[in-house]
Amino acid sequence: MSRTGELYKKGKLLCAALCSFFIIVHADESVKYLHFYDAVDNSIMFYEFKYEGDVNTERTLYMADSTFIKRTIIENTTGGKIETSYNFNGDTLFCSKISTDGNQKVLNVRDQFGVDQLDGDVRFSGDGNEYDILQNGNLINKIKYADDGTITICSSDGELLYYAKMESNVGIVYRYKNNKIAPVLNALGNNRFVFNFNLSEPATVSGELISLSGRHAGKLFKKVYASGAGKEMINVSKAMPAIANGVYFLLLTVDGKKVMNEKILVQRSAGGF
Amino acid sequence: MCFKKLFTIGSTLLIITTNTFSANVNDVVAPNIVFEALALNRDIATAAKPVYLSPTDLVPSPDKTKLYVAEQTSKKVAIVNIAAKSVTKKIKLPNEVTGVAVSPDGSKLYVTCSSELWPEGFVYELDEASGKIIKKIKVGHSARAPVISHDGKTLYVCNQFSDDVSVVDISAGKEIRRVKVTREPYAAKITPDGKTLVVANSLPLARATDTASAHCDISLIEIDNDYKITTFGLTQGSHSVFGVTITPDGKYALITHLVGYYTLQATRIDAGWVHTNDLAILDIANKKLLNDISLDYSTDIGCANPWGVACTDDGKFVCVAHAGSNELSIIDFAQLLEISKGTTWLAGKFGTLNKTSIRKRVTVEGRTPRALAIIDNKAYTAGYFSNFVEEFNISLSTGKASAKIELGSEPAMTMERNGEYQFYCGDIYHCTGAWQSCNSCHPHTRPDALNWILSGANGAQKNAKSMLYSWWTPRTNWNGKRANTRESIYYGILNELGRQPQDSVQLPMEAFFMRLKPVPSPYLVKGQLSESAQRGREIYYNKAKVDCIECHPGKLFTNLKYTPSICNDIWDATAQIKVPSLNECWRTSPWDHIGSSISMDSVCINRLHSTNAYKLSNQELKDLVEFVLSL
Repeated sequence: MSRTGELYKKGKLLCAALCSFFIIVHADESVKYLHFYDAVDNSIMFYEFKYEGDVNTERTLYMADSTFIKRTIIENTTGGKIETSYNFNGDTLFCSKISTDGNQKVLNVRDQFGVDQLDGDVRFSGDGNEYDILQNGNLINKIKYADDGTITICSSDGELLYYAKMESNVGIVYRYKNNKIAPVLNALGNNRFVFNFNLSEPATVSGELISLSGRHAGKLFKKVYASGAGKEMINVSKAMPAIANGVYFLLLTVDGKKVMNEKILVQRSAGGF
Repeated sequence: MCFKKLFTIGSTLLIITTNTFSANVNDVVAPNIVFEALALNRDIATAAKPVYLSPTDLVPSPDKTKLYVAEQTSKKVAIVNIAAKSVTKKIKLPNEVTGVAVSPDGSKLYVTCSSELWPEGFVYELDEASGKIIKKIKVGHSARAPVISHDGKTLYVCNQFSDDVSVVDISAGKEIRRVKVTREPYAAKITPDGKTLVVANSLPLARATDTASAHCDISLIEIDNDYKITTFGLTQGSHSVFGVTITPDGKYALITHLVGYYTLQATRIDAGWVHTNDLAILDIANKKLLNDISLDYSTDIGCANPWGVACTDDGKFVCVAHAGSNELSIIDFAQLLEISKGTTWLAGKFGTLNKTSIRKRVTVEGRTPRALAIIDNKAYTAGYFSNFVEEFNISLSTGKASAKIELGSEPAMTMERNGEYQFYCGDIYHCTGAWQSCNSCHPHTRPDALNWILSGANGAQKNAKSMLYSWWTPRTNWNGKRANTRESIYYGILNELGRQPQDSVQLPMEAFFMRLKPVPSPYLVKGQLSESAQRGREIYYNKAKVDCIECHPGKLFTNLKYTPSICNDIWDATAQIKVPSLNECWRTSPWDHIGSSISMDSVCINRLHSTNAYKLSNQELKDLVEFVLSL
């Protein structure tokens, strides 16, 4: 091999190593999403987790098409965890209690009226990677945690029913960048824009206007999108009817991470927008 | 070498890293979290919600060798080999299966999915041989009843709560158009020439006080004429239009439905006093309702809740599945047509079909048969609360099923499931003369959009009520006549079904009502309030601006108190009305206790209703209504 070829190969190896370390550095992050699939790989739904520091305080359940189902607030109490789920209007849907009984975790889910949604406590017995799920003394399911972040849910006789895959925050952004499908912002005129993007995993996409002095001028949108190609129509006139004429930065973020910061001109007509 | 080692370490670490999350993973994604999500979505069985099959649609393969069964609550399509009389395959779908269509060459299945938990509708294109999903196409809210064009290029889907029909370009894999219809399209069929789609709207869209307009519509959509719609009103009082088929010659659409005789005080149930169970015949070419025939047997015996309907290929017979009375009607169509062409309107004429030379009623073992399919001279039905398909020879001498095809095992009914069954069943054990079921006045536990004069109401009519949250908002009835749901069920069975209430019926039904949950509103955007609704929410809770939360506070949006009528009720001018919950009011028009309004705007600004909502600007009112209809 020529010296140039040798150097090229070493360079590639170095890059690969550095790239790996890049991920390692950032990979010690918490679970951001948990995606559920059935045994034939149909995407069913996903959780989005939120944290205060290292503590998971909230999770939101969406169906596979990003339809919001419920937001769950998690409280740690002396008697165990209490998780209260709310609907789109902030009204209580369910209250789940997770307590400990010997070496078993016990789940009880009630609706806003106190009606038991499972008809009897569900108990989880296991060693950290494999759990038996029991209700009324009967084994109803088994849950296993694999090293690759996959959780399998099987019937009592071991048939795979569903599985779930964890994604960390880093995983998504990394793949987002790795996809090399760059987000595109196109002006449509009259203070209207279209933002096209592509997500490898579901993520929260938001847009806001920042003044040239760096001041936050206002929120344009903030939505959770499913994986795949996404599009957001931005109408500054509609979203921020009181904004003054001028040049602004349109900041677009995915899961809080900046993906675009475009300078735009906002113009009001004499009679307003 | 050094670089190689580094790379190896790096790669190893990379694998470890991507596979390992921080220390609190086991806590964040603990087994209870995984289990709870799947259990509450009814994906895995619990003691509260075992997985039932609930066959809801039966579709033959083009070569007539197979039957596709939509197993709604197990989220599967079962493929039945007709000759072997057995299930050869089950295909899992991501959500509840509401309907199936087959491509003309039989190679693809088009399955509509939606549920009360996840009503966003999707069509899944499946490879019939492998069962693999090829395409996923977004359609409307509570999608059902897929119909494929004869060239296999276009699919039509009824979006029950979007009140429209999706037109799907199959090769492009996307919805290309929505066609607005009247209300809650539930069933559809395409004519043999492929030019017209006949859509059954299952509920009236009219003020209940406007007796001339209180009926369901049939929408004829001209596919080759820019989807032009012609609308026909069925008989006055018609509702629960759940089945439609078209005769093989393409001349007639046959439509199953109920007719409510709501202007009569409901003091008896025989002789069609409350409901008749009908089959309408629509002359498609002449755009004329030919007749509407009561399927009830005599003045003493009804045939409750006609649902699925189908014709034999030769057009000699039409069959109707009666989900209430648990029967199959096999009818000589030529004779039926001849009678229908007469001058007599047959909606309330009993005995038209009681001659054995015209119609044969056959008892069905499956509980509440909704689905019906015909292959050659065999009819197939499946009870929604059963786990098998029954086969019948189509003949006026048929006395019982000729075969039974098991779909799979099913757990015993829970109290709630039993209550659901009791609610839908209207056989002779549940209703004197099998005239009706609870579902007759409260389709799918919600109102039929008609006013009724119940026993002891002194002639005052009241709009049918939703059962949703009725258990949690006692007293019941508009004027709080009954103490609670238990009492309402008791008197409902006694007075409207003519049976002495038994604990074995009323207690499960009470458990069923207690656990009813609202369906997410079609006004929500991806399950969340729209921007307009968010603005409306601010107005709703602003006591300085409007008085909404005085009467509609809390999570159930009712203070459970009594209030003077918010409309001009000439039948009960001094009525004190119990404030209704607003949950799911998007679904319960016409509004107020006599159903006098189909405009939520006018309900909100009515000064008998609100003292200051009329001061809102047009935009504010629009936003407020958007919020209320999102609940």
